[in-house]
Amino acid sequence: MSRHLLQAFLFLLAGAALGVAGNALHPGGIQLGRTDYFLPAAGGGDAEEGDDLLARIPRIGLEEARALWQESWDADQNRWREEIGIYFLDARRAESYAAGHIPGAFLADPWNKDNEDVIDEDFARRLREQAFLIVVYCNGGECEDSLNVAMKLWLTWQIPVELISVYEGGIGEWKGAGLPVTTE
Amino acid sequence: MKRGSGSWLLLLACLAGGGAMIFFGLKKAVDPVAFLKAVHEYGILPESAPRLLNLVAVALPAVEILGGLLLVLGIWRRAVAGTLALMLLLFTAAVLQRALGLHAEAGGPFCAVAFDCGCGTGVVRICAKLLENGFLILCCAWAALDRRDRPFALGRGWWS
Repeated sequence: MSRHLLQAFLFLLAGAALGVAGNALHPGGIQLGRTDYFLPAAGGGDAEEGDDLLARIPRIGLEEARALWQESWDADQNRWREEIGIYFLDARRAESYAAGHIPGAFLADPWNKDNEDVIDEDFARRLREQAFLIVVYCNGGECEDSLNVAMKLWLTWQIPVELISVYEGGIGEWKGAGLPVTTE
Repeated sequence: MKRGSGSWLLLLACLAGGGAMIFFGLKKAVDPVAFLKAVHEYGILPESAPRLLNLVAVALPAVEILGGLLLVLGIWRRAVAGTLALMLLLFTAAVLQRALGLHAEAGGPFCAVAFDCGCGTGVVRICAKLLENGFLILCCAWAALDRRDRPFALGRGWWS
């Protein structure tokens, strides 16, 4: 019996060690020491405080998101109008972004191993100085990555929460409404 | 020495249980982030221990793959099979609890409940998943409890 227990323990230990080693080599691996992958911890502090902070992030629906996008997108030139200051941030995985995103949206994948802070210092400064409004979206439904990114923009990068909006319907609703997406 | 048909069935149980664990483990290991999200959605591990959640998400697929390999090869068979059976029991209880929650929300026939259980195979129907897990638990439990030697086992002595 004790032999089997020892074998079981060694098996679990070896499996865990292999998992950690494999994760370190995996290009899309998890950062083991990271504590803010999920809400409400993404905002720091305890769960209750996190929930209070989450409730303060403005949400918008399809019509408002569409109007903001139409304002920020030059349909004739097929380009994003930077001077308007409306930024769309796509909080989905890089693969999903590459497969189709709202035209003009920037990738802000919170799961990217090489992008721990989601947004780097230069881009955060640009948002603080130039953004009139930042719209963050993900898949919609139960997806909470957009809220995760919104919390980071607000609490980590000190962007006023009034400038941030989460488009709750996300890309699913956007596509469902027949609105354009691009892979560029 | 002539082997009884029982030892060949034991071999089949090890191959079925081990092969399935390798398959499910590989499917999870391919996308660590998706599996981390799936583990988080079960809400079993405390929110106050995010590093533990990360570690479990990283370790579980590798434990399944290694366990499946050892079971197929016949190394540390009884210990590994017993551990896998216990793991499968825990997973099944978690999947069932989640399905009951979804059923309470949505209503309708219980077997119509379908969701991504984080098992590596995408959206599954709950009754099919429970049957599948039940079969694998039986295979692993048998491999753990049967004291006979298994044909084509590589493990000998302390390694058996």
